[in-house]
Amino acid sequence: MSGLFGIINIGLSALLAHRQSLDVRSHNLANVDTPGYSRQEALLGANPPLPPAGTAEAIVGGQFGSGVNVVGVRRARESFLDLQARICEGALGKWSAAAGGLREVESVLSPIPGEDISSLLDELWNAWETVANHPEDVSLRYILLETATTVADTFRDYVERLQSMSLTIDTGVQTRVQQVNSLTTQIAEYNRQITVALAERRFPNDLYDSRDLLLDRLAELTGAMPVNSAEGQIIVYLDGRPLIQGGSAHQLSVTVTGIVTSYDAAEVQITSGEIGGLLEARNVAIPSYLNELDLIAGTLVTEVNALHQTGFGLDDVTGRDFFVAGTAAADIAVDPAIAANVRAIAAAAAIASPGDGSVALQVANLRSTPVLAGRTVNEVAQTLLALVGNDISTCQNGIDAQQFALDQIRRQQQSISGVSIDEELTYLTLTQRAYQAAARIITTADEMLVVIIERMGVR
Amino acid sequence: MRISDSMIASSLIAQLGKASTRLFQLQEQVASGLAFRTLSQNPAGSVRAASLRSSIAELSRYRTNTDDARERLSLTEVSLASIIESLRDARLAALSLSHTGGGNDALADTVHQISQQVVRGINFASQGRYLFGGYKSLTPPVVENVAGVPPYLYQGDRGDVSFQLSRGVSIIASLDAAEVLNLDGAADPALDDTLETLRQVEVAIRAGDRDAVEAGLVVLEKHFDRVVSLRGAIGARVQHVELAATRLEGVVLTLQALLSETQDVDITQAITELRGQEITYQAAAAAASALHRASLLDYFI
Repeated sequence: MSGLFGIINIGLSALLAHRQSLDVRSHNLANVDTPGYSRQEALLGANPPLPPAGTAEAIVGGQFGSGVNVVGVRRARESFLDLQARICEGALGKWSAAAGGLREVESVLSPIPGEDISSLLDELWNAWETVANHPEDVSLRYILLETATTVADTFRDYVERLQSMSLTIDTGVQTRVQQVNSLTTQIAEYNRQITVALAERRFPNDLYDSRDLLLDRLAELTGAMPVNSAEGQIIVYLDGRPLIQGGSAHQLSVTVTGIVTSYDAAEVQITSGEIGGLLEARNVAIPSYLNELDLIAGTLVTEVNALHQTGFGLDDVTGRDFFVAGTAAADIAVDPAIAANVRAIAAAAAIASPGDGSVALQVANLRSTPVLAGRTVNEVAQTLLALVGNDISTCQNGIDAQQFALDQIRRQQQSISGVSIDEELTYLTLTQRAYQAAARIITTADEMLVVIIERMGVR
Repeated sequence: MRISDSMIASSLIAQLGKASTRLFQLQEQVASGLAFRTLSQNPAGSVRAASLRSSIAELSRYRTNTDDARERLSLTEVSLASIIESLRDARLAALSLSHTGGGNDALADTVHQISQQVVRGINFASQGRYLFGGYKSLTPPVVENVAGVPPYLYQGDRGDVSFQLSRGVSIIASLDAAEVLNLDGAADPALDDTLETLRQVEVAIRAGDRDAVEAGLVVLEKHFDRVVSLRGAIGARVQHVELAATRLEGVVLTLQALLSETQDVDITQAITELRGQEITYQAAAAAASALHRASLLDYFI
């Protein structure tokens, strides 16, 4: 039995514990929409009973409770869901970043339906056939020249824009690598603070939340997953090399060849996250489109020139190229001699035959000639469009699938970690009443003391 | 399941987002009339549409070729008609030889003029392009022979000007002066050319040599028959080209219908869906406002 002062002590312990509990509830309510915040809960525990068990007093008089205290502040969080979410974040980041890069390719190669490389080639073939029908008509030759120049300009424009897209992606990678460095530095700093807080027997729940938020973003950028380590710290590996080890972070840097870590100056392959997606768009997708463009342009130049060489212009000269000889889409152009003199366009198969358009017709018929391993130039152009469309559509499907999975995981996370105002208000009221009751305990004990001090034996 | 406030908020945002995305897509479809606007929205459809557009471009070109061929064949036919007319006039002139001996100069002059008409007919040019000279379309098919006999020389190359009516199928839409007038014995090596025959008839009329005129008339008849049959052949070719044009128009229309089926939106369906989606969006918004109204705060304070 602790006596009247014991009651006051119990009341005091209750006042202190419930005030702390109110602190936690208020903190929850204050952070109801803070990103990454996990609901916290003050865990109340009864103080050990007095007198201590085994003592003579306890054996004689029994044990009595001595109040309440806060034994811990729990953070409502499920680490398994964190892992799941980060896997999704990494994949989602990859697909989104790749799609972002490739959508621009799409808008270049097919800005609106029907305005693409395939229809441009159709215009070219039709212009050749018009010249074939009216080989002596110089004005129609100008139209052919115009069309061919447009085709050549468009090819060069495609290449230029795809290359500038690669540069834009490079800048994107650079920016994101800087973000990764900033994130890893901050995470390492949180690692340090958490270790100190744990050593001081505090509850670093808000530090955990902040660190988790940064780890989410790190996963979105690189797909890197954290591993729990001793004393509340985490380790993050990227491509088998440590990115964060306890309180120290290893910086990444972008070099000409790739991304290098300061850990051992080796190159790290990032295949997931936004950086992984951007690198894939730049290193795999865009080069494959450029290859196709080269194939189409190179074949166009070779095939048209081969036929054109055999023909005669209105000036009776033969053996000339129509396009400047070359194999790359980047330098396709109408031969300057042709551009300066449309009479040099070789439509005729024989000398002094201004009315003969048979060579021009042969060129026009390249439209349906399978010159590329059984495919026509137009078909290869259409394949390129299909390739771009499919690549983006694959990214979009990836985005949709990962977004759906992530939404589900986030929902579960919010179900566990999210703050419910109604719930907090209910507990707030309960805690408030408990606090009021604790105050009443002290008042009651005080009144009892007054009775003893002021009235007992007073005459 | 425990429901937190952020869960309600994010779920509402996600649902409103989904509804408005679909609403936007449908609005875009209805406004543009296209079922998909980018390659990635429907890669297979996009490529099919590109391939159909390519076929339409090719067939439309063939359709234009039929116009070119028809124009050329019609002009050829008109020229042949005038040559036929001239040959008929020449025959009439020869038949009207009234008496032997001199004094038939006026008649001979008429035949001379007729032969010049024939030359004009065969040297006919449309837009600076001679029709009867083969590939030598910038030079007149026949020129006067300074040596005198034969009176005119052929300077074409007998090239066939053809127009493509479909893949690998062409129609020859030209006729050569050599063939029409039997120049250099192109049609019948045993026969003089038409202009030489006309010259001989003219000389015979001027000389009043009835026998020679009659011999000339026989030859002239052969020339006449040949040109008439050539005209018939040209008429048949015009018909062939017209049939091809009709067929191509039909095929282009079919392909356009297929293209429309591939790339155009079914407007009735799209608008119906749009209305449905509007209602979904409104419902999501209404649900959002209803959820936000309910709070314990309204009761505690």
